[in-house]
Amino acid sequence: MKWIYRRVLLALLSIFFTVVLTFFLIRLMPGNPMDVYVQMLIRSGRARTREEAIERAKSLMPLNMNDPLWKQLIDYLLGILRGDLGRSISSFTPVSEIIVKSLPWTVFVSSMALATSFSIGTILGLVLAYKRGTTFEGFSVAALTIFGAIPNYIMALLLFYLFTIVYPIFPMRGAYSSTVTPGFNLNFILSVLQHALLPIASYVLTDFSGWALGIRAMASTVLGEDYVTVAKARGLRESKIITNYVGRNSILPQFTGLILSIGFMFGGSPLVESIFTYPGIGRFFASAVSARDYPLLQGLFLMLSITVILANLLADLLYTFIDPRVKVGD
Amino acid sequence: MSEQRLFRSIYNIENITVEYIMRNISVKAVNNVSINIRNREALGIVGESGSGKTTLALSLLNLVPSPGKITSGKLIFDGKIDVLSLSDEELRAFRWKQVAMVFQGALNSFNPVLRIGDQMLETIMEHEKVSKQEALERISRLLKLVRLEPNRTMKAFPHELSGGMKQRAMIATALLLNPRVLILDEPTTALDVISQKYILSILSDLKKKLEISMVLLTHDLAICTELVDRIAVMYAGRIVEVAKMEDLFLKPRHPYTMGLLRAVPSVVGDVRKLEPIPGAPPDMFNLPSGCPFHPRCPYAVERCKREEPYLEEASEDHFVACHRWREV
Ligand SMILES: Nc1ncnc2c1ncn2[C@@H]1O[C@H](COP(=O)(O)OP(=O)(O)O)[C@@H](O)[C@H]1O
Ligand code: SF4
Ligand SMILES: [Mg+2]
Repeated sequence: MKWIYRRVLLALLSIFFTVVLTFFLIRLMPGNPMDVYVQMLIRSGRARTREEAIERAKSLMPLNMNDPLWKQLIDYLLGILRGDLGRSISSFTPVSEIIVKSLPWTVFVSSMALATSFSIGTILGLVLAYKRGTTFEGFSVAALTIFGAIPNYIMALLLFYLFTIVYPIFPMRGAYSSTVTPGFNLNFILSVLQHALLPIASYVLTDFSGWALGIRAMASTVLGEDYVTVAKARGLRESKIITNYVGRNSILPQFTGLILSIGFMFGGSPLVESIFTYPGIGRFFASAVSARDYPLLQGLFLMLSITVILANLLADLLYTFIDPRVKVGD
Repeated sequence: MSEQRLFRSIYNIENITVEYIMRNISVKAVNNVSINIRNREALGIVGESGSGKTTLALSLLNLVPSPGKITSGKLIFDGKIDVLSLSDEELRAFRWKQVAMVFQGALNSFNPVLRIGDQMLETIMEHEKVSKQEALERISRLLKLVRLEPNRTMKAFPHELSGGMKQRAMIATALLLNPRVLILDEPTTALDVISQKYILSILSDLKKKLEISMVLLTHDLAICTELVDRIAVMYAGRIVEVAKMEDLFLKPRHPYTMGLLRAVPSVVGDVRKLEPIPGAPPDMFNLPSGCPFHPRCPYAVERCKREEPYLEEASEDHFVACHRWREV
């Protein structure tokens, strides 16, 4: 039990240090929100002279930008404790509101994608391990390696081009059609699924191969273990050997990877979400970086570090339950 | 007399050859081996490491791992079951029910993520329609027989048991279905001396209490003395001599067996007279022509290089494969 407290404390400390670190790192990026905003005003013609633009920008910036950094940091940390993440510089919306609105879309798409690619990958990997040495295996491994090398945004572009332009069967943008009313009704759900399918497919098609190759490598090792031969000698059914002997022992090491992916799931992908104009958190990452939107960036990184660090903690805790060989405290 | 008496032997192994066939080379790990395992006997199979003992044992379950293959021969169990022509499902039912095996290095024989008790239970449940209660009672009884504490052992995961305890748990698991033949592959190697003695005393105990044939595979002649009725000596995948234990120890007929006996301290008695067999163990990929023992044999003659000797009956129930058994 003491071990769990230690781990939780360590996780909280990690979150704190990540927050402080991102606070400084964000400000190390060249340019600052003022510059970006001033440029935008001049380019859009909303301010005629540079002085005018700077004057307007100053009045709009909700930040204590001229305070010393340490004071800004303390203000920010105190804000977090009050549950106040500040307002976005570019849209003036509270950061927490942006996260609450966009996160569900990202989590929906990423979790569907993760569940699908993990299940397909696991089954395929086990089958490949069983078909060791066949041409089917050799061919599949080559294909999987190629699939695994494609970045998900390239896959997204390809799918976007194929299925919204060449064969326009899927909608081009958004999370649901403007003609449906959000709520628990069939039309809305169908529309959501229709809009999410291509983004999900972009992730699944590029991710499942990694899981498959991982499981295959593990299962090939497990298949050579004595306890599998002994299980056959004991006259156990093949199905039982595949699930309880080969399956369980080869999925176990993948498990940590799965939980960690759940943590990263909350970040979404800026490029994929931009391609499909999907209103998830990834798109805000992209726009916040280009606008040097410090409060929004800080809020997004805070959210992501919390989920990743908690996923780490969860993986550690759950592993001790799943693998009897790992003792609590190891 | 019981019906079993009608078949003096429970398992007939006829001219079995097992080859490991690799891309550009193949090894005959078991070469034309014939032997009958008799009812309720303890048969020792002795040979250096690499002589083909494990491969022979696996072939008795038709479980030779790829790239190995049984390329010829017949396996007849209980006078009627043609093991090599069983269907997958029949083979599954045959394994462990008729022939069970305690594998070499039983340390890794249990699935690391399942409790010992669950693995024993599933062994029964996959073969028999009995109540869980009945199965658990049987497991308890067998764990006690191998002198393990039933409740603690059943709840344990494999890594929580010592090597000796795992070995004993595996012996209990092998007895779960009351098999006719129990194969023990190097049951004492990899264990400390105390555990070795303990296992041997448990095995002789089992031999007295159960109606079972035991096949003990070992590279160590000394451990046979306490347990076995008959010994088969293996060399380079062949059986070169088979005889009753006392007969073999008192009147060995094959030069290799004589060499083995001179290398066993408990047989020679005087440690100073210990003599290892000269020469190196055979290279299985490149065996000598004729009698594979000829490069190391003090009695070898020209004929030994040309012609392979086959088993002949030298005296009652004593077989030897050597051209010169009459003279040596
Ligand atoms: N999986 C395998 N692949 C290739 N060759 C093998 C394999 N297992 C055993 N052999 C070969 O078969 C021979 C006999 O091995 P084995 O049956 O393990 O002998 P023993 O049990 O007497 O030590 C060895 O010479 C080894 O080279
Ligand atoms: S056949 Fe020849 S070489 Fe082989 S054991 Fe007999 S005497 Fe020695
Ligand atoms: Mg062996």
